[in-house]
Amino acid sequence: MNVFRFELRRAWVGAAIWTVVLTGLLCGLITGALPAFLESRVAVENMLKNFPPAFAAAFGLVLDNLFSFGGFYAFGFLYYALFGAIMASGIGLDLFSREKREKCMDFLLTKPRGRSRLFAEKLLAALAMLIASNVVFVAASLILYRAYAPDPNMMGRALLAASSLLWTVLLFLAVGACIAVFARRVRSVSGLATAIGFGGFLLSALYSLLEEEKLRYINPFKFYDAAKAFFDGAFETNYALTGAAITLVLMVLAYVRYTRADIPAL
Amino acid sequence: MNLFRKEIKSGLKPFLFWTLGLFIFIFAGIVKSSAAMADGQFMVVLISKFPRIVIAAMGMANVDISQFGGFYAVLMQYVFVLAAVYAAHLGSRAVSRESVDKTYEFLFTKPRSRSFILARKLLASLVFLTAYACLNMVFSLLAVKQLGLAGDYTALFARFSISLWFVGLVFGTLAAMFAACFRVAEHGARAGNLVVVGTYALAVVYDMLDNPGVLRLATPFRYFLNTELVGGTVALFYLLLCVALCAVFLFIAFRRFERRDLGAL
Repeated sequence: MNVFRFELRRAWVGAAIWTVVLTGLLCGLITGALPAFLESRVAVENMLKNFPPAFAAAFGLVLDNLFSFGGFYAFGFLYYALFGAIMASGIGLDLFSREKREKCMDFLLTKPRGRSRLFAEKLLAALAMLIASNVVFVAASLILYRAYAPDPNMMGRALLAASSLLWTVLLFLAVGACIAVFARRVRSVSGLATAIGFGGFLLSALYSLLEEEKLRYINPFKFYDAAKAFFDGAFETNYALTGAAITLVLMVLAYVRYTRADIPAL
Repeated sequence: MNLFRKEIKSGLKPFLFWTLGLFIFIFAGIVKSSAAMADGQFMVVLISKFPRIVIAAMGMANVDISQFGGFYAVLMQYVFVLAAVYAAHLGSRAVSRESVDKTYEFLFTKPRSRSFILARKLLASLVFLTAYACLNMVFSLLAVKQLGLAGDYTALFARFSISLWFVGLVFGTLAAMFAACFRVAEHGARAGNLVVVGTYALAVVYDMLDNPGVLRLATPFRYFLNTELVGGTVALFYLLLCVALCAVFLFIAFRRFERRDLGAL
């Protein structure tokens, strides 16, 4: 478990800082804005009275869902997912390109450990950090749900909704790992991670601007929809499956490449 | 000129990649704008009932999306993010690429001063950034033409593209400064990228507050406000501030780069 320990030691500070930022963002948004948000329901209801009912229906406005803890949580999810995506793709890139960047591939690969073992230990380290960070995030979400939701009696759904960040983050870990393994050289981990994170953010923005259903299949922040989890108690199967399939395929690709690739002489 | 030519050549591929992102975003966005505007009036009234903080989180603060200008402003704020990340990449690349690739011993033993080399590299970055802002203008015009939208939006697009260029300049020179100040190349790049993420977060906070006040100074994303750009003005004070910031960042970058230890960290 040397590799596991080494990677953990190298990367845990960054992961811890991201966790604090992420949880802080969540707490700030919910304690700061949720009460005002719930109060604005009256104004929206009054306004909708002036429009024909078909209008509201056409926009899919279900006020009970919108003005709830879950509705607000889903608003903020875009930003939690952005930060989570930058963190996770950063970890993936960092761990799986470390030897490539520091030009010490031969050092690691001449040790008496199979490449699949090395890959597994690196993956385990990445997973350990992401899961630990998400445990904190989910715990914070549940505590806030208990404290701020008008009727907090669906802990199961809240747990599922809060877990959507973890699944999203795993997808980005796979993206990061795949790029790290396939790229000829990785010049800057943070630059690539920021680009990937904001890439997901922009795809998500594009989806919400265009409202084209097909675009959801390329919108990584919406594969695991927190709002749906809150209101229906489950993710939408086809999108969740798409997300899971992409994650798995990318991970397997990364594994195959990592264990087979030729290592160029330095 | 050799150096400049080589920088342009090696930066072309990433540039095309970033341009593709810009192209998709602008075309898809503008082509869809008419549908969004049709629902616009209802949405505007609806959104105005929400608390400010939620509108800001949706990215629709201070705009009237029933007008083309407002819709374009929503679109552009994402393009600003795209340009800022690209500019930061350009800036830190210009300073620390030779260190990262471990080719610094080759280049910096040539009979040219470090400032000379850095100036050529930054010049190439500037060319890319300028091309990016121009393409933003071109793509927008083409998309509007494609759509057959009535009205002349050239001035609107020009205002947005110019402010895009200035914001890009600030982030590019800032990233160059960080890259020159940190001994380890990755640390410099990380600082530059963190500033982009951080200032974007601040920009969202700016939208959330009723009286943001001096917060505007802290985030280049809000130096040029949607309302002003759509309304037909560009804030002169902030334009000058951009120039001043760039000058300061560049000055520090050159000074530090002249004196630093070169190494492959």
